[in-house]
Amino acid sequence: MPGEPAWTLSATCRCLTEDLGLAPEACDRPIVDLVGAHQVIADFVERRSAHPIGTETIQALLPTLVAYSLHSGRYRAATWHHEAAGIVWLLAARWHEQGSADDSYPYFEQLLRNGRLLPTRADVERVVDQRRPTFARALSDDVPCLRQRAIAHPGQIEEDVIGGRVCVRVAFENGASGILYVAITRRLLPGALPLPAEWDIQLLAAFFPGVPLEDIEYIDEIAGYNLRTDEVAYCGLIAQSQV
Amino acid sequence: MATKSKPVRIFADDDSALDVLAQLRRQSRAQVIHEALAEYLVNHRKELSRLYSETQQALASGDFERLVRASASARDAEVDAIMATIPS
Repeated sequence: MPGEPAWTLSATCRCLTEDLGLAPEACDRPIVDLVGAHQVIADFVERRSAHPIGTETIQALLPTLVAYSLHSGRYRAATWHHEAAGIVWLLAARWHEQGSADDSYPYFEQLLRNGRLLPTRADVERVVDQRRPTFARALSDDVPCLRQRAIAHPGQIEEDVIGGRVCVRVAFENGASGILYVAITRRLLPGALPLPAEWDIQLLAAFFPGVPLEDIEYIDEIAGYNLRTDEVAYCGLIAQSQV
Repeated sequence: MATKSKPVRIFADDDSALDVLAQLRRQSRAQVIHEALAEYLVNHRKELSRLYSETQQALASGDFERLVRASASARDAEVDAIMATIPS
């Protein structure tokens, strides 16, 4: 797939405020904007941008969670590659003092036991909200470009990752009336979550301006070619004025 | 590579998309996905039609904020999907 994005970095609000002492307002900002606020965040962004996992798993959190230790000076942080969602989380951080009851690793374990280590719904909502405008912008910018490319090259399949989230293939058949085919991969990027149907609907609305939803049809091919195993395709007539 | 295809109208009352898709069942993974999606679309046709219209109108008027607002249901669906993958 062209330009498939890798993963998003984020932190739980509990970690930012309780462990790193940031103000609650910091939770609403993308983590990359906070690198100057704490060395742990700077190290997290630098290292987990390059690689989503570390080399040292935190044994105390197994088997519930495969989290990795991030060393940042005397701090130890717990990071988790949430593969399904395409997110690497900074879950917790604490001063490391081996043998002390106040050490980082027993602290991480206690957080997990108390149900306070993993991301909350509010944490997830923040990540989704930070990603969302990118997709909305792509509906208005990327989709018309991809559509135009397909119309300009009848019979040829054009492919792109819309807003970095959804892989789409588009083709146009210029017969007596033009038919536009849109094949949507049923996987939300980054990660491996199934694509919610609402996303199909918004993509179709962008690909078929002025066409009622009732006039769009399912089809099991794209311009005469087989679909990929994880694609669903739609087609609709395009008015000559839009070609 | 070419295939013979029969288009299936999504919301046609008199042409059951599910009936046609059921005939295709077990032939390929894509067709099973197709069927599940069709069922979802039919069962949620009202809100999805609203989302479709709202998105088209927001795009036509170039109203970006309206476009983001229109996608609230898509946003909630994504949050639900992510929450379901967090270990408890």
